[in-house]
Amino acid sequence: MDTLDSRSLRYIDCFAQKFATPGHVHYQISTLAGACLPVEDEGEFTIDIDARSEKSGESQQHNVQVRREGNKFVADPPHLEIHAGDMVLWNTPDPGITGYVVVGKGAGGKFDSSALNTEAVFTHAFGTPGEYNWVDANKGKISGVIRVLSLDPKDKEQCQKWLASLEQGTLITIEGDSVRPQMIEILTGQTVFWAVQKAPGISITDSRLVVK
Amino acid sequence: MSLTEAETVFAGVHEAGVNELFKAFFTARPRFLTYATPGLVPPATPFTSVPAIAFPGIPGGIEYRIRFEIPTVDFAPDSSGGSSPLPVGTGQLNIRTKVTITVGCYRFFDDTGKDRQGTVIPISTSLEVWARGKPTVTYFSPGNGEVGFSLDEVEIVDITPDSLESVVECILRMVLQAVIRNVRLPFNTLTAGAFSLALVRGPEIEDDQVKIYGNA
Amino acid sequence: MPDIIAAADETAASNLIHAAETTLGTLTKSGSGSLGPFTAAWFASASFSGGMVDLIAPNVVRIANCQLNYSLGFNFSFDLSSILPDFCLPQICIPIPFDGKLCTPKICVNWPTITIPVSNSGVINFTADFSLNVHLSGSDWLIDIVVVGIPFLQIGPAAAAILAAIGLAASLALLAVPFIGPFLAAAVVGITAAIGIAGVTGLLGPILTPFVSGLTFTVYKQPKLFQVLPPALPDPAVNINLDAITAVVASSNEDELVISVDISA
Repeated sequence: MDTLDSRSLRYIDCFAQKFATPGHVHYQISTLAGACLPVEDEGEFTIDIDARSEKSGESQQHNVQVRREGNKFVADPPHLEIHAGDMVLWNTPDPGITGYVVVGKGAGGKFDSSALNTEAVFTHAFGTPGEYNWVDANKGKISGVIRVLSLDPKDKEQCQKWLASLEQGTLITIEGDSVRPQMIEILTGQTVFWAVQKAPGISITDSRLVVK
Repeated sequence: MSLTEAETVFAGVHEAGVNELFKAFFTARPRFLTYATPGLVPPATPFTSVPAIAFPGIPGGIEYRIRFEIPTVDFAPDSSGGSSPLPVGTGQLNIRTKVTITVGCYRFFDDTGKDRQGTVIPISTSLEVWARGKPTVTYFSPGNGEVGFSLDEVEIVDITPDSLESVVECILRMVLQAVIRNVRLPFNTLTAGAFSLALVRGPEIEDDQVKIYGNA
Repeated sequence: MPDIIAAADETAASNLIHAAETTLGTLTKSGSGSLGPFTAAWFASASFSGGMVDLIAPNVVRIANCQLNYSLGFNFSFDLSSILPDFCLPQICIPIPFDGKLCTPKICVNWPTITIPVSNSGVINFTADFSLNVHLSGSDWLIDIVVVGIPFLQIGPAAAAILAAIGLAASLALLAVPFIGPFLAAAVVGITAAIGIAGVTGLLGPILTPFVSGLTFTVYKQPKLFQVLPPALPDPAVNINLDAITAVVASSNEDELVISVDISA
């Protein structure tokens, strides 16, 4: 089975955060164990957010790649200049990274990929069929079910259909204790997006990974 | 002709081998060669205790001791070179030994007329004993059995009159049979432990051997 | 003339030899070897049973269709990227409630190196001549039959069965690899094709041949000091010495295994 856990991101996961308030944000990248440490005031990685004007155009997405250099995580690029309302998405192309967390603070408050709160998104690509019951490992009430169907394309046409399906994502919206939809069915290889409108700091975690 | 003939296994022990087995048996258990009453216990020799023969007027009864030399066996055909007074025929065996009979002769007065206060004086004689008999078998279960020997006749040379010879031969046949009955050869020994033998035929005496046939 | 002669015909000799096969028990070996282009660490066990016994004068025991019962376990590592194509999940863009849309980047799947555990058991029949060997080992007399040369093992059918077992084991191991689904069948074919029957034969031969090379069955074992009668109080045991033993195959109207023993008190 896949390891579904937004508390510890891998190469098949993405974390995105919207920055609506102009100002300065600094953040760090660590393992889940380091997520509880306070964010240093002079954080290694920064985002400067300008107020949005008519010239700014529509909100944009900025991608940051997470990589490992020696014992440290690095963000590429380490510094971003964005407009208020833009989204920043973190992802790693390195399958060797066994899990990372993005934690930051500044304009607009704190953000934490292991405890999703306001206008944050977690995505996960499911590679192994099965039924995944997900819960909030941070003791919230929300939960849901993802059924990942196996497939065995018998011919080229079926294979092409499956490849086309990979371009379609499925959205789950979370607001407070509300989860919509609570149960979805997808094919192996497809990606699910959890869009957290507002929440007290939740995770999307396979219930089997939650220590009781 | 094969050794096993119509069966699947065969075991045969040559008379020389049986004589080694006799030697081993009586060396390990020498008490079976000597039988003595309490008044004639042999010095420094293992023995089997037997009661004196009670007789009115003889205090303590008649004391006696019988001692055998380790017997030797001869299987048919006869290997004695004509010396056996009981030559073996088909399927027969000879057992030969020397027996020393000692009697505790109770004397009140000696030859000079002196009062001996009732003394036991041992007097002995030794005799060559020939016996003729056949093998026996006790079969317990497949692979478990023993070969033994039974004696039909005993011959002692040069005792007269003939009636005395008959009496002594009878006594010695009974005693020697009782001694030989203790000697048992398990099937496992006859095969030297090579295999288990469920007896079908035998024991047979032939070619200076005792032979048994069976299935493994 | 020996003191004791014990003889067994071919029927009884078969029983003796089958009992000796059982007494030998299960032999085990371990090591590593080539499995086609891979290296496999293996563990094997073997036991022997059955076979038709033919006694051949003067000292040969031929066992036809003796069964070598083997059990084999091995594992090997396989880099899936060598047989699977580079595969990436495409960029996915969807509208989200608090922003126009969000797009994930292209995610390229990592094909790992997997370890495939395989186990297989089977039977291989072989025919071999054995020669009689009488000897003292410590204080025991032994009559062994020792294989002559190295018997030929018909490994082909076993190799085919093992290749099928590799395919099955690979399928099971691959199920745990994320995103393998559509590629699983082709991956199994790729793994078994990379190894092939020749690869399995190349592994199996050096594993099984040592089990039959030098194969020895003990058909007779008795202490030199042989107990005729056990102790029976007050009497001690009665023992004899087995001074010399010979074993031959004698041929007359039937072939027999003849054991001759000289004894002394």
